[in-house]
Amino acid sequence: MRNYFHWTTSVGAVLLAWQSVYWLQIFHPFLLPSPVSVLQTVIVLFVSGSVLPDLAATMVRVFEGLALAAFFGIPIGIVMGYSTRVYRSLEFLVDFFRSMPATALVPLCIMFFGIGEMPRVVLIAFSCGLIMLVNTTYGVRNANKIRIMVAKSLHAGDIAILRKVLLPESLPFIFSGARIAISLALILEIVTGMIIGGNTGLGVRIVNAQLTFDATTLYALIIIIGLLGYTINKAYVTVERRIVHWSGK
Amino acid sequence: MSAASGNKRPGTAEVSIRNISKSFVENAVDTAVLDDISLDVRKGEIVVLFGPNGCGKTTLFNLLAGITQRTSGAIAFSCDADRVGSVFQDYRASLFPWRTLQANIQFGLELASCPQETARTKVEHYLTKFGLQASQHKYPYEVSGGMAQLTSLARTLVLDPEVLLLDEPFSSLDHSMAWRLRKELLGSVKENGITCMLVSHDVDEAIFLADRVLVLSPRPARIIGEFPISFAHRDRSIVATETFFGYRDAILHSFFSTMAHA
Repeated sequence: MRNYFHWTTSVGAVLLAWQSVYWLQIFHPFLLPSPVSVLQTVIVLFVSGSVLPDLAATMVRVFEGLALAAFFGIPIGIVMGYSTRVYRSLEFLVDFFRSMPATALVPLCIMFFGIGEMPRVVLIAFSCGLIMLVNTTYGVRNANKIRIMVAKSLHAGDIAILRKVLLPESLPFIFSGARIAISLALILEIVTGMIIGGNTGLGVRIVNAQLTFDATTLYALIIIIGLLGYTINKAYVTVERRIVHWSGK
Repeated sequence: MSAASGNKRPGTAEVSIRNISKSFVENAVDTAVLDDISLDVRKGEIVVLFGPNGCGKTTLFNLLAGITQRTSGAIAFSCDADRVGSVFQDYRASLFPWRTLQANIQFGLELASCPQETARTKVEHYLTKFGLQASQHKYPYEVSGGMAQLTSLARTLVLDPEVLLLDEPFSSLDHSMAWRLRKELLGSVKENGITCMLVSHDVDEAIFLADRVLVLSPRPARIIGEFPISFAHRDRSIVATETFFGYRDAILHSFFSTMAHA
């Protein structure tokens, strides 16, 4: 009971503050519409189904990008973690690209892949792939040495050690890498939507709302995106706790 | 105190350690940790290496377990390398937290491609023996230290080792748990005729478990005392007997004799 009390208190306080600022007309109502109208718009966008294709498009691109990211990032990360030689030769490249803001690559992606779905999925795949790679490498390299010793004392061969010890050991790190990647994927999808444009996507919708001076819809979309991110994160943490149940214990 | 030379018939020794020395480079200085250690362990014998902390007992254990390489000397087992089992001190770190207790114990059998049914029977045997059945589907982080260490022990015993190496296996456990496990270990080892080398810093534990106690000096470790231990029966009650005190006095005398010079 206690938790819910605090939760609603803080949200209520924010809404109250918002409503007060609106009443006092501190900002032009055009810039800051009332919370009531915004919340109404949120509901209407869902109930009318208007926002659903954009929501779906965003989700699909995020998913496709992340799937590619995991497909390439995690195995390469494992190899880099396992082999010091491979690690040393790829370390600089990985660090270089990882440190680069992904948005700097948008124009390049447009040049290569046009302005359809591809540049957006590729960008997500590349940036998120690097994050997953780095975290996976870290996990494999820092696997508990005692457990590896134990596996050897139980007469495990190298492949068995990789499969049955190193991989489970690095799973917590792989999962935390994926969590960061998911947040980034959502950001990139929306930002590329704004830059590249297109027909569907939450980023596209936001820009359209801005261009048509529809502040209420703009705020409503921000809230929807926030809820999307929140829900994804919560769902992910639940799954993570189930699978990597021993982490932190 | 007699220098350790052990068995008069080296050919039948289960474990033969000859002139083992080991040094590490620490801060650019060559530090000797083990100094010319030789001993033979007979088949089925329990030898306890007793010495102060930091003397190099764990280094000797690591050499035996094949984890570190010796600087000089030779170690020979009369059995194959895969019949040598090791139990480490840190049970939390050595168990696999993603596997249940039952799955942990089964690990070595899986590696050896043991058929499901046989594996299950063997694992059941130790689960029952060590009283772990009720918790077999729990994870290592959900059970007490004693149960975790028993699981670690079972995981090694289930592979039917001929030689068992243990590095202070009970030092992180509370008093009563440690005694319970000592009894379990003694029972299992004697039942199966396992040759056992155990590293310990607890003199009571050493006397309780050992057929022979070897006292090590502080670093660089040498064997400075060898004490054959003999009891008619080994249960908790022997701890209060005259014989036990006698052994204790002798061993501690040997132990402290080097401390004064350290």
